[in-house]
Amino acid sequence: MTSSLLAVQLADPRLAWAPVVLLIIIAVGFAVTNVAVSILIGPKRSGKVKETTYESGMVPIGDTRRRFNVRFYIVAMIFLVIDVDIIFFYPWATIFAPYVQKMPDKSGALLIEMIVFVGLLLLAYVYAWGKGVFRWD
Amino acid sequence: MMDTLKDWLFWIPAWFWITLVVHFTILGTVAYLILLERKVASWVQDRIGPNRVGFDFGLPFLWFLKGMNGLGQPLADGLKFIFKEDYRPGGVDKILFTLAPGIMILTIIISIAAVPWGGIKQSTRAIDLGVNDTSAPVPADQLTAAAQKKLPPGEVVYGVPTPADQPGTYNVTFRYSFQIADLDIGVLFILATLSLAVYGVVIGGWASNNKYSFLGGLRATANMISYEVPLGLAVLTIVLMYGTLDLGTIVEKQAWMWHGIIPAWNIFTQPLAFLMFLVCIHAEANRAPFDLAEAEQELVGGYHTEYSSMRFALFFLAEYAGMLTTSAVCVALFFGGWHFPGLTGNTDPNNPAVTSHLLIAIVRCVVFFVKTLLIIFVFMWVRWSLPRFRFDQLMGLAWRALIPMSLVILFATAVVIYFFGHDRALMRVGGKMGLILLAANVVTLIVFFGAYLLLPAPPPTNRRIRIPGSRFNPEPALSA
Repeated sequence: MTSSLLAVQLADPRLAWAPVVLLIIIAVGFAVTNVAVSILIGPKRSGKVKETTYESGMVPIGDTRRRFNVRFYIVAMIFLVIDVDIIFFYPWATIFAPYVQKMPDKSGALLIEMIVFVGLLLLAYVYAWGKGVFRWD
Repeated sequence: MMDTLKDWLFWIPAWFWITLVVHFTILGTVAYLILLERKVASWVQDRIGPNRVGFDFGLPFLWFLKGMNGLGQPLADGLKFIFKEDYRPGGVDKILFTLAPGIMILTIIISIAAVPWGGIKQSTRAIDLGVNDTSAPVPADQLTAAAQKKLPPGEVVYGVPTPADQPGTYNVTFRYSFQIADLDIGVLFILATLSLAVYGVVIGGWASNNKYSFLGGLRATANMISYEVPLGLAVLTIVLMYGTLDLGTIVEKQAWMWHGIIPAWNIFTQPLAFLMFLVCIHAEANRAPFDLAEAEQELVGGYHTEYSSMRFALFFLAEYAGMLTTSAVCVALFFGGWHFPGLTGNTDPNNPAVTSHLLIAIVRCVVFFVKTLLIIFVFMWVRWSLPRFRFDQLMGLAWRALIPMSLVILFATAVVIYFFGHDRALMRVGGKMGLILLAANVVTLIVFFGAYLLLPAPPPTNRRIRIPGSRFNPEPALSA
């Protein structure tokens, strides 16, 4: 068999995202169509009592949008800090195994960098623990 | 005419059909998952469950479609949702109230894109490229524009000139992945889109102007972002083992057997990471025992209390579709994806994902899907078996147990790869290395339980506050 090969032609990497665009269009269409159809078909009856916010049948007391427990802010802040740190792990995790295999002499530095990074993260974590950030009781 | 049609169909890339098929299969499955949930619930609680609605629509001549053991229930539910009033109470933020279910369903639907259902399909087709010199390889950049246009969209692997009777015709072999979008950052894409679902929850909860919704939204947000951290770290251990963010490659590298008997799935090398992942996806889906966001006894319906009709249905669908996506990711990361010994063909060690038979690709999709459904069954089993946690226990589990544990297991995996990963870490984590990783998992678990014994006992939760001045509390009563 003659094996005269065409060169490998790789797809344009941007083309890989085309299905995602298609899915976004489908999803938006799905949501809009469903809600629109139910608005068109469904009955429309309103009234003063029906307009009120549901509060187990009572007359609503006060407004909803007021101050809430500060713990939710704290957990959001500590999440931001730690999650951004984890984002930094991803590139490191992607190259670590190939480095160990191909350039073993350089992978030691990579491991130490990661240990330092995890150490700093744990330091912040222990500090937050000591400050009572993780106490919800 | 037929040929033109055939060429035209050939020109629609494979991903278009795959996207349509997967999307509608997922939606249909999600509808039936709700029925399955009710069936599992009734099975756990020793009752019969929905068994009345068939497809007879009340018409006497369709008597043979009556009953069907409740199979018509999803259709009836969907129709009922559409025919209900799309009601919006006063005092809501109109724009955000409308947007929230849309955001929810949008993020969940696109998150399914990177799931590798069936490996890579390879096809060969004779194409007249209009190149006369068939004696030498033709580099892609030297092909004529006409020839380029005749090649199928996607990755062309090679072309072999056909015998001399058809000069200029090449047997072009091309490959496409049996997944919606073959992204090389698939893991990151799924984590990113799934975490966007938080916006749907928090916007829906805030816009409703209802105290139950607001509290439910807050709780759901705190819950989802807390469990995202250990989820990301558990996924990182697998990414670290293979050095890739492509889910398809991760599955491909699990598709072989140790000693010919044990499948090389990550559940056997990283059981602790799997357990953490499973707990985290339960929490991400806001399901029992982590469903504090919609604890009926306290918060009525949680963040979707004020939603009705199709908007509520979108929230509901998104919850189940999210479960499906996370279960599919779980299967891809820890259960070898489409790989099943003896069923999924092609044991070529260098390229296990590539198959040239459509049937094998479909069998792989079925295997993947069945595994996903089994994980979903575990979801339902857990929901109807375990009682709900308290909110402080929920947050404590994420922040005080899962996050340090996942950091340590990540660290242990890195050390194992550093010391033992020189020869086969990149291609395969198997044999001795798998055993060492398993040992590292077990040691981490033991060390953690040991460390928790050493920690000072936390102050008792649910402290009794004794009324000052009463006979239980000698302190004098506070003067008003």
